[in-house]
Amino acid sequence: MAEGRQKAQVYKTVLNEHLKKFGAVYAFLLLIIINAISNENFLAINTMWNLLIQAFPIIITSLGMLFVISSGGIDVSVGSVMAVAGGMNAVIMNGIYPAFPRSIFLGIVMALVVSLMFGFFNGFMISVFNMQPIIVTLTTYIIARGLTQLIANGKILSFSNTPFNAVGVLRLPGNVPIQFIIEILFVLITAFVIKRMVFGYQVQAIGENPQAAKLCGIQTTKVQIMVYMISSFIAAIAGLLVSSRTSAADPTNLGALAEMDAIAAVAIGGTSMSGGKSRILTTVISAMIIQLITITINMNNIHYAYARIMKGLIIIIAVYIQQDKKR
Amino acid sequence: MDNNLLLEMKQIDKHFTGVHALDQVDFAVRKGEIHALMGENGAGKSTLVKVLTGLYGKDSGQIIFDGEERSFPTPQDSQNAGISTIYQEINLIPHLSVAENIFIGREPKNVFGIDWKAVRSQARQLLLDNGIDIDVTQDLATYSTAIQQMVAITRAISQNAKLLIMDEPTSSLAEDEIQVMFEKMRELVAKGMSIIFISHKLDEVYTICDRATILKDGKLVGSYDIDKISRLEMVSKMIGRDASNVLKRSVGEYEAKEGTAALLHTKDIDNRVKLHGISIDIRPGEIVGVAGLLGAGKTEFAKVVFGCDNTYTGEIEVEGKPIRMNTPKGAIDLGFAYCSEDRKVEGIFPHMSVKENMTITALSRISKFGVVDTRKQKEIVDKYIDSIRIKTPSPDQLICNLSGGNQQKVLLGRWLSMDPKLIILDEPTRGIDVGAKAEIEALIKQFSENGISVLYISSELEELIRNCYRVVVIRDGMNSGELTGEDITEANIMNYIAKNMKETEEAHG
Amino acid sequence: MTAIKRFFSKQSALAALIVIFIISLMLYPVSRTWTNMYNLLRQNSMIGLIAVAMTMVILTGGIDLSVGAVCSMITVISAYLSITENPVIILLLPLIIGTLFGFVNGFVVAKMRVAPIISSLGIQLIARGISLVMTSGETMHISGSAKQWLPQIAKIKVGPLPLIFLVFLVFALIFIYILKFRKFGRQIYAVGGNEDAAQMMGIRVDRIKIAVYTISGFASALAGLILVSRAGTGQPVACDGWEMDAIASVAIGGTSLAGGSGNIETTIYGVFILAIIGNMINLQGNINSWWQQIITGLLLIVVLMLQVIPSWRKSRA
Repeated sequence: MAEGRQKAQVYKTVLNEHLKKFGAVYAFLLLIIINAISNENFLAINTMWNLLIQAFPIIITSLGMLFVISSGGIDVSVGSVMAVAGGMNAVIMNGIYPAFPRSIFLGIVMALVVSLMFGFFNGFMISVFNMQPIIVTLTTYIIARGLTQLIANGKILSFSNTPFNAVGVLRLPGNVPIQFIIEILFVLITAFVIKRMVFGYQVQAIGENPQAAKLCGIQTTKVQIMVYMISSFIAAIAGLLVSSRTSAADPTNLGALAEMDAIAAVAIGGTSMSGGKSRILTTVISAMIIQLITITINMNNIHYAYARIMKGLIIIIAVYIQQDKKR
Repeated sequence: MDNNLLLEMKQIDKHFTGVHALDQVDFAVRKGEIHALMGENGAGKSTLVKVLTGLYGKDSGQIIFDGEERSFPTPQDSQNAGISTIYQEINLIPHLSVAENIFIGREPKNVFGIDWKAVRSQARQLLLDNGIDIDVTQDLATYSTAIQQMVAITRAISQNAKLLIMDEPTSSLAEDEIQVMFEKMRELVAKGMSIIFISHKLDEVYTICDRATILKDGKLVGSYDIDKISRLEMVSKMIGRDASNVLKRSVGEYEAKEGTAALLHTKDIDNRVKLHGISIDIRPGEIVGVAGLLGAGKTEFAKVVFGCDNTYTGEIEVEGKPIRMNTPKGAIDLGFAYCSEDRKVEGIFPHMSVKENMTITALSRISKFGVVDTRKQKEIVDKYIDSIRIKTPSPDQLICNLSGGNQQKVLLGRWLSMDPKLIILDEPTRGIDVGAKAEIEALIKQFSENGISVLYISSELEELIRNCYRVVVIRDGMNSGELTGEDITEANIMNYIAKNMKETEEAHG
Repeated sequence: MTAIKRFFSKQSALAALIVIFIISLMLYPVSRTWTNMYNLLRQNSMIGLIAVAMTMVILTGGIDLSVGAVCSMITVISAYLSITENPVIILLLPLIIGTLFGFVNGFVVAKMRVAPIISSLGIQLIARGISLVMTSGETMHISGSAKQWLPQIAKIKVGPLPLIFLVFLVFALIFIYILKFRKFGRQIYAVGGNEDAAQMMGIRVDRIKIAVYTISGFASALAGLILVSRAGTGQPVACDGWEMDAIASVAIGGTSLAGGSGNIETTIYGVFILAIIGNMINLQGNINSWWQQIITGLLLIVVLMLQVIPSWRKSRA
C-alpha cells in the first residue's frame, strides 16, 4: 500500500511539474480551440492579426515588467508612463507649446526622454535609497498621470493626417501588421538579453539573492536603474504606438491599468513575484491569453465584463498552480 | 515502560516528494537530561525537530510527551504542551521591543488590554535573572547577536517549558558567552527541564550533554551515554566509515616563502567599530590562517579586504601598489575572491542552475560586448564539476537541490573559475558534513599548489592547524600574535588569545 | 525649541498635517468655515476607512489592490438589493459580501500562498467584473422606499459631526486600540516583522493574514455603503484607483511598505494631509486640478526621502 502511495505521489509530482512549466501553453491552446469551435471566423488570418494588434501593449510591456520582476521589483507606473509618452508626443505634434516646434521627430524624442527620466527616477530611488519598489513606482504612477493631464489640460489630444497616424495602422506586405514585427523583435531581444547576455544573468541573480549578487561583483545599482529604464522605455513605445493607432492620446484612459495586465502576464507566466528566473515564452503566451479572454468573450456575445472575472480567476489559479509548494 | 521518560517518539516516518526524510525513527529524552541530537546534514535532525515542534506533520508514528500520546498540528500546540525551541538563526521580531519579543503571544493583561507596564517590568526581571541588564523598551534589532540570542533563551525559559530544543544555539556566540549559556543550561536541567541540544561541535556536545542520539540518512543509528562513546566512535557512526582517516593531521607540508614579495599587504586596518588595527601580509601561494574568537573581527577584516566596507582607514597594498578597496567589483577586478561564511544569504542563487551559479563572476571574462560565450561557459562548468568532484545530475540542476557540501563546492568553483590570485575563505566548512569537509580541505591545498594565495578564516582550530602554513591570531580587532610551521598548535593559538585577555584585564583592573 | 524639534522628528506626519492645515487656514478664508471642514471630514471618511484597514494589511507585509473595486461593487449590490425593501438586507448583506471577498483574498494569500499583489489584483478584477455585469456599466438606481431613507443616512449629524465621519472615527479608534493593546494587534506586527519567527513563536500566521484581509474587505464594504448613501445610486465604475490613494496615505504616514513597523494614527494624518492639499487646490480655483496628483506624488517623494536618508547616511558614514 505504501508503495502504491509512493507511486501516486511520484505521478502527482511529475504532473505538477509539467503543469507548472506548460500550464500557460495548454490554457492558450484551450482558448484557441474553444474559439475555433464556437466561431468559424476565428482561425482566419485577420482575426489572428487583430489578436496580435490588440495584445500589443500587454505583450511588450509584460516583457519590460519581466525584467523588473525578475530583479525582485515591481513597476506599477507602466500605464502612466504610456500615457505621458503618448501625451508628450501629441502636444508637441499638435504644437500646443510654442516653445517646441511642431515636429513628430521631436515629439517622439521628448516622449522617450521623459519616459526614460521616470524610469531612471524609479531605479535610482529603489537602488540607491533602498526604497520599496511598489511605493516608488506608485509615486511615478501618480506624477506621470498628473503630468499627462496637466499638459493635455485634461482633454483628449487627437491628431490626424500626420505621418505619425500611419505608423500604428501600417501593414507590411502580406497584410502583416507593424505591431507583429515589433512584438517579434522585442521578444527576440528579450530572450537574447536574458539567456545570452551578462546583463540578463545579473538581473536574475539580483532577484534571487541581492546580497550574494553584490559580493559577486555585480553593480546592483547600475543594473536596477537599467531595469526600470527598460520598463519605462518599452512603456513609452507601447504608449506611442497605441496613440498612433487610435489617432489620439487620452490622458485619462491611455495605458490605464496596463501595469496590472503586465504584472498579471508575468505572474501567469510563472516568474516568481519575489524575483529570480525569468520565463519569457510563457510570459508572452500569458499576455496573449489575457487578450484572448476578452476576444473570446466578445466573439461569443457574452457580456464584456465577464472577461474581467475570468481574468481575475485565471491569475489566482495560474499563480497558485505554479508556485513552489513548501509543505 | 520507563517512567523517567519525558518524550518518546516511536517509529516516526516522514516523506517529502521523492525523499524519505525519516524512516521509522525512535527517539527518547529522559527527564532532566541534556540530550544531543547528532548527524550529518541531511540525516534528518531538523526534520525530526520540526515534526516535534509542529512545523511538519508526520506520515506515521507516535509521539508520547509527558506520559500521554500527543500530536502537534501547529507550533502553538507544541508550545502549549511545554516544548520551546531556540533556532540557529535568531527567530525573533527585529522591529519590536525586547520586552515584547519575550512576551509576544502571552502578554500580561489588565482590564484595558495588554498591560505594557507589566510586560516591561517582567521582561526586565526575567533578563536580570539571566544576568542581562539592558533597556527592554528598545527595538530588539538595536542589540548584538549575542544579546538577541539570550533574549531568545529567556523567552523560551519563561514559557515554563518542560523540553527545550536548542538548534545550534552557539553558532553565533563567543566563547565566554557560550560558557554563560552552558551554565544556564545546567541550571535548567537541575530544575528538572530536559534539553535537546543540536550542534556540529563535538567539543560542546562532550562538555554539556548526558546522552546522544545519532541519525544517519533519515534512520536511527543509536542512542548512547556520552561517557561511553569516544569521539572517534561518534564521528564514525555519523559518517559511517573509519574515522581515523578523518582526524589525521599533517603539519608543515608547505615551503616557507619568506623571500617572496607580498601579494597583499595590509597595515593598521581600522574601521572604528570592530577593527582597531589589523596587519596581515599574504605571499603568493601561501595559506594564511586567521584565528580568533567570534567578534574578534575576522569576517570584518575579510570584508574590508574585499571592498564591502569602505569606511576603513589603514594601508592596503596589492603587489606593491597602494590601493583603496571600495567595492567588491574592484576587489574582483584585482583578482580577489571571497567565499562568505553565510552560504545561504551571501552565496548561492537558489533557483538558478549549477552552471549559472558557478559562472556568475566569470561572465565578464567569457563575454564580448556583454554577450556570453556559452561554449566557454560550458567548458568552465565541465572542468570544475570534474576537477572538484561536484555531485550533480547535470550542470542545469538547480543549486538548491544539492547538498550543503556540493553547494559549497559550486561556490568554490565560482571563484576558481575567475582565476583568482587570492581567495578569502570565511568558514568554508561550516554546516558541511565531515566527509565533504575533508574534500574541501584537500581542495584548498591544491589552490596553494597552483599558486593561489588563501586567507583561511576559521573558528575550527584543528582546521587551521591542518591546513595553514602561517596563522595570525586576532583579538578585539587587533593582531595578537602569529605562528608558523610546527609552532601552530592548539595550545599556542589559545595562548595568544588567552594571554592577551589577561593583559587586557590587568590593564583595565 | 528642542521639544519642537523632537515633536517634528517623532511625529513628522502629524507635524506636517498641522503645518499644512495652518497654511490652508491662512491662505483661504473659506477653509476657516465649518462647512468646509465638515465636508472635508465627510468626504474623506470612506478613503479613511479603507486606509486604516490597508495599514494593517501593509503591516503584515501584504498589500490589497482590491479595495476600490470591492467598494464600488458594494454600492451596486446595495442598490440592487433595494428591491427587497428590507433595510437589514440592503445594509447587512452587502457588508457580509464585502467581508467575504476580503476573506477569500486572505485565504488565497495565506493558505494558497499566492503573492498578495496578485491575489488582490485577481479579486479586484472579479469584483469590478461583477459590478459591470450587474449594471452594464450604467449607474444603478435605488428603488422603492430605500430611495428616500438610504441617502438620508449620509446626512445624519451627531452633534456638529457627520455620522459617517463618526463611523470612520470609531472604526479607526477600535483598531488603534487593538494594534496597541490586543494580542491580535501585536501579532500583526510580528507577522510583518519576521514571518518565520512569528510562525515559530506559535503565532498562527495564516489566521492573522486572513484576518487583516477580511477586515480590509469589511472596511471597503463599509465605505461602499457610505458611498451608496451619499451618491444615492449604485456606482459600478467609481472608486477607481482608491487602492493607490490608500496606499499613498499609508506611506505618507510613515508606515513601511515592507511591513512590521508603522501605525494607524499616522495613516489618518496621511489621509487628511492629502485631503487638505486637494481642498486647497479646489479653493484656489484658478489652478489646474491635475496639480493635485503631482503635488501628492512630490509629497510622497519628500516623505520617503525623509524616511530613508538617515539610514542611508548611516550606511555611508
